[in-house]
Amino acid sequence: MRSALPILPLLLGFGGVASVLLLGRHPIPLRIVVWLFQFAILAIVVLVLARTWDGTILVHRAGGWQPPVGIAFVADRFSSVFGVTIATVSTAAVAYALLDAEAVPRQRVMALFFMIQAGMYGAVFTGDLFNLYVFVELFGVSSYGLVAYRGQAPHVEAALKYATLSLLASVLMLMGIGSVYAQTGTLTLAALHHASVGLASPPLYLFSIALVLVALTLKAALFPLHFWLPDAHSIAPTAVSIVLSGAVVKVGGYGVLRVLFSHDPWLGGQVGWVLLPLAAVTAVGAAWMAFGQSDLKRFLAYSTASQMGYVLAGGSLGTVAGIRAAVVYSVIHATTKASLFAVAGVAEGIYGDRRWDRMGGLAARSPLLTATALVALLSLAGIPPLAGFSGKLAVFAALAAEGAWLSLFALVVASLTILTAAGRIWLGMAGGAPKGARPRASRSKLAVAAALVFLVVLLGLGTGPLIDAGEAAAVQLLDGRAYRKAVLGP
Amino acid sequence: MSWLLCATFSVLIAVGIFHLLQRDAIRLVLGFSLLLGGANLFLLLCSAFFGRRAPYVVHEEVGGDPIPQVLILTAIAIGFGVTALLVALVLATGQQLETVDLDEVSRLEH
Repeated sequence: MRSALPILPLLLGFGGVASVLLLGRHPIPLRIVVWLFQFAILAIVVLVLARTWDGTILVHRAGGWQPPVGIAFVADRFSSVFGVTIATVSTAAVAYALLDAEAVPRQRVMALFFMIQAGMYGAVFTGDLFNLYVFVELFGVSSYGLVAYRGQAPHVEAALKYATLSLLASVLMLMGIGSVYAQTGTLTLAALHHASVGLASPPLYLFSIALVLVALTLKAALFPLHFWLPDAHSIAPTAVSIVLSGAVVKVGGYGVLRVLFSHDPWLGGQVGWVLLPLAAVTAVGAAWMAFGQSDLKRFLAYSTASQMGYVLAGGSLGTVAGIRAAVVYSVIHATTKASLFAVAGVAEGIYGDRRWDRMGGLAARSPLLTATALVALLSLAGIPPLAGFSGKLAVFAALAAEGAWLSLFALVVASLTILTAAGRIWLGMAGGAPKGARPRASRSKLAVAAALVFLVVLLGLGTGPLIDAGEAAAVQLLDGRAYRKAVLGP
Repeated sequence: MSWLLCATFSVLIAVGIFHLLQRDAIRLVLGFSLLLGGANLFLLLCSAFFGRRAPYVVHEEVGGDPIPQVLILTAIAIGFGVTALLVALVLATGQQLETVDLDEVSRLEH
């Protein structure tokens, strides 16, 4: 169905950047402009989800040009679920950034927050491979700026590492796209399905797609391209960590799945053989690294890498159950990790330190923060009845159904490692007697964390509908006929 | 003349990767620019090896494919932007740490 909705979040993101820079010099107008655009974006993506819920596919042809020449913006169930997740996490991050003394100069930081969002919505709703590259670059560039803007040595170092690696990967992606075009004569994702059957040289095509996937798996922090993540996600100011760990890595995962399953199933099968072991290694290795961290935000950053291993392990199977698990896990992990980073930011505000072993006596200082941290950590560790449990169960069930026992074992070990680490951290923080006078927990920031944890609890209660939505998205993505018909025309 | 383009492409990529592997952050930026140049040339090669004429509407015969050239233009613009950002980051590194040696820059705990 023709509709301008899929391109609107992107345009509102750009509009937000321009309006913040034009009108946001003083705090009150800045807040008004930011909330106006943020709520508009949130409303639009929720509307997109509502319109695509029944299986309708919304298509906007940019400039009125017909694919394969023109660029289409497409919203199906799969992309709208990711769009809503990104918008929710970004709204929380924006709320946190408006309260955060670290997020100054506020006007420019807010402009970057809208730029990174524009890039993410563009990447999620685009129907064109080269356009995907452009938007991956756009949110990449904004994220280096967001990591580095405080300009002190650790920020700059983390941003330089992150930028160098991502830029190298995106040069490879560019060459991969060129090579895909040379072999298929199209860059429209919907047209790649037919073009990928009967190629002159399938191995060469596989190599081209591998080049494209390198850049996307780097964004998703898949082993061996994960090592920038702990630096960037832990050094960044808290509001930025929320959006990086909650949303940006998910767009990497989305891109991998979208590119793979736009093709004929032979490609997903071939790539899955490589992707599944890498995802399992990421899950275990990063969980192991997370276990040894005394820096709370660094623990959260490593656990993000570990959890992306779950998402991609599910997605790499190429079955309905696997992709359903990837979708469900992405949504759950986004909210859980966003709430945990908000908690870490509030705790850092009290103790002036990010080391959890120096945060003794939190239960006496701020019971609400301690309870929030408990619920979020339990969801991260996958304790029923919280959301994290059903996400993990979905991934495990998908792996068991395909008989991938070794990967299943790896993921169970990773879960137990994270569970132990999370328990240790919470006990270390909550227990003990409070020593010395410390500032009180920031109430407004705590409200952001509590709101996110409330969402996690809601997701835990509403697991049934979430899994149904994941299933519907997976069926539509794997079938692909409706998508191709909507984009290319009958 | 596509063999000449292929050779140039190979040299650009090889020299670019060589510079990326050095410890000096400024050579990293230079290496990255060379890689981008190589990637743009690769996009051109993807279209040019059919040996057709330039994609120009006035010609009566079938022209070459215009899409790779559009891609190259976009890639040049993006490459320019990200190179400028990388230079800014290296500059900030130099100002903060008084070194652009990447081994000395690596001070974050692991």
